[in-house]
Amino acid sequence: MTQERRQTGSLQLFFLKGVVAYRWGVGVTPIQSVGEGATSGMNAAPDTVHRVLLDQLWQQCDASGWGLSEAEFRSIVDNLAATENFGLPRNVGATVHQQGAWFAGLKLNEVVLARACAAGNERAWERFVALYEQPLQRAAIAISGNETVGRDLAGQLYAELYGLTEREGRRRSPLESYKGRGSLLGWLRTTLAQRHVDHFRATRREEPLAEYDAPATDPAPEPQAPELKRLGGAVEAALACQPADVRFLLASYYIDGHTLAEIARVTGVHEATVSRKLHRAVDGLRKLVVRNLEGTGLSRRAALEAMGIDPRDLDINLKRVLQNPRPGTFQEKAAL
Amino acid sequence: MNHALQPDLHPDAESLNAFMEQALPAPERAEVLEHIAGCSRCRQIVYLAQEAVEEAEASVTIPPAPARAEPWYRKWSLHWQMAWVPAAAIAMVVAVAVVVHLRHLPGGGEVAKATLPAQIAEQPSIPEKPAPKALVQPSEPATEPKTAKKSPAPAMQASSLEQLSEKASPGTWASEAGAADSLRAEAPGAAGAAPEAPANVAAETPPEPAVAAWQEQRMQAEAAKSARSSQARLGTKMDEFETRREFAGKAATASRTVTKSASQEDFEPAPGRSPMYSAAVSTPRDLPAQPAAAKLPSGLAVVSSATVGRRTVALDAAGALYRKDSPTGKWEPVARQWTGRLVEVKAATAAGSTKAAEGERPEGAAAGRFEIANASGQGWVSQDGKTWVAR
Repeated sequence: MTQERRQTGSLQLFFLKGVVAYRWGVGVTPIQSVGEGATSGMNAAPDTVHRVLLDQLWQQCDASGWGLSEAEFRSIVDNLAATENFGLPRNVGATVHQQGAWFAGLKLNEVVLARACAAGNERAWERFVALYEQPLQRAAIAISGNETVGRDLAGQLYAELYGLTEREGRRRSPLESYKGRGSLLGWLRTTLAQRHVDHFRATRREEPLAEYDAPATDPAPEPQAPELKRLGGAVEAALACQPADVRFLLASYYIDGHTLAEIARVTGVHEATVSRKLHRAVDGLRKLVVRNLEGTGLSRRAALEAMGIDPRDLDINLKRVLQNPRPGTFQEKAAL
Repeated sequence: MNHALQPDLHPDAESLNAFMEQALPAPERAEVLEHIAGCSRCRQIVYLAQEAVEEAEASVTIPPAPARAEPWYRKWSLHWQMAWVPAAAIAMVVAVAVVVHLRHLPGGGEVAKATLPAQIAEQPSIPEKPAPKALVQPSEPATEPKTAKKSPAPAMQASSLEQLSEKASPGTWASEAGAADSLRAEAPGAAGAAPEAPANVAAETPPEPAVAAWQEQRMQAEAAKSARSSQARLGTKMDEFETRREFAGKAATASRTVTKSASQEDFEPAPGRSPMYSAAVSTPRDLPAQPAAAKLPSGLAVVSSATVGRRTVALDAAGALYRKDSPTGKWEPVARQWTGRLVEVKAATAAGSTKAAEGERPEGAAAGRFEIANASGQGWVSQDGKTWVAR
């Protein structure tokens, strides 16, 4: 009897926590639905969207405005949830709270549209063309810097999106890889940039030989002075131990040549913040190099004198040092 | 495998886009940042996509601001911006028409601009009644040149009337306003003419039995006037058409007297008034037309004149001297025998008592002589008005 009361109390506490968490975290489902969902969330099967939440999402989504049926919507949402498992690891069941929180972080309208287009829904395509055709073309022109190249790039991507490519007897569209974490237009821009960069990198190697000015063979490397070798090693060690944001900042500013404003827009901080961060990073690097030099046995005075060496005398490949991502972080999930 | 040269592990477009839109959770964002810090390709993709975003934001057409309602005067000015040309043309045509019309008026342009006193405007039209002119002052031609120039006929009329009156009925001058009023009040039939309106110009026709008494009263008025000779020039004058009729050879059985009983300010301009007002007043349209003989051959007004016997000598506004041997004779110019500009001509008796030509009748006219004076005070005398010797 006492054990049953304890179980009931823990259930009530869990229910209360669930209501509060759901209301503060998602805030889209009515209380009775939350209670029902919270109660049943514990028993909800993995990869299955709770029906109350599904109804709520259907009411919030504007898919019915452009002709998507509720059944199609449910199919898309279920498929999306099954693919991503609500952002949770596999074989982990998501409560209704987690499901609601995950859906709240998605651009549901756009991902439903993209999935409907990938599924070949004509009404969805009409909607997609009406919304994104012109922005896609403008983005392609802006990325390529040339109107003709931009139109070709947009047309090529458009054909890919429509699903001209077939794999295993099924039409495949890159829109299937869109998961709705960012905007669909941003995803289209990024995809365009990917296509353009890949195309540029592929065709750069196809330059005619007549225009190719082969560099002269490097003479035999002269043996470096021990001070220079020591300084180079200290610089490489200092750069390698910098955090990712500093290395991104240094690479963007010193290697890619982007401006502080551009870096600020990409990182989402103010330009002044980027400037301060860059200044602080350079100062930290200088101190770290001196410290590394001191670690090699040089006195502080000698280490400071070594900092006055002409950098051109150093044999350091900054690109190689900075652009050496740690392997295994990402795996290109080729959709095609 | 060298990831820098042949990267085969890259975040997909979804992750890169979410990274740019700050939509990634912190762990995944750190992973993406770690990758793009060392991957030039992904950095390039990120910056290109961001550039496209900026281009799209820049190309977004800014919705036009709601048109502010233009103020009414602006619309008015816009509507009338091209209408000023015809408006100016119309205004010019109207101005030319007004100028031409005023030039063709008999009394001159100034008449239309001035307001005649109501008394003059309502004055009964008497064909033979001359205008009661007392505004032209012969001794001060320079003070009112415009008046003398613009109204030569009335000035001539005043002097000629004086000449006529001197010849025909000596001693009938009544230039005193008070005397005129008294005369008018005592004159038979004039009691009810305008008892309550002394400013009115009354036309009276005294009956024959009253003429003798009336002339006697007039002699008394002349005596009073001589005592105030300084005011005689500026005071109002009484013009008697009876003298003119006598001079014309007509019987003065019934005289028609035009009494200007109005006070001086009715006809003379106020101290603050402009000479134009004076000129306008001095050329009343409703008055009878001036006789053609009043003009000197030069066409200018008579500034000063004097009569000795039947001879008359007159001075015009330009300083030229004219003479005529009889009242009906023609004006003859007198050769210049003096220096300077003549300003006055007088009639003097043989005994040397000189009287002003205007408003005074010389005593012993038969034995009199003419005297002229220039602006510097030099004088010349003549018996016949033709030959002048320095005084």
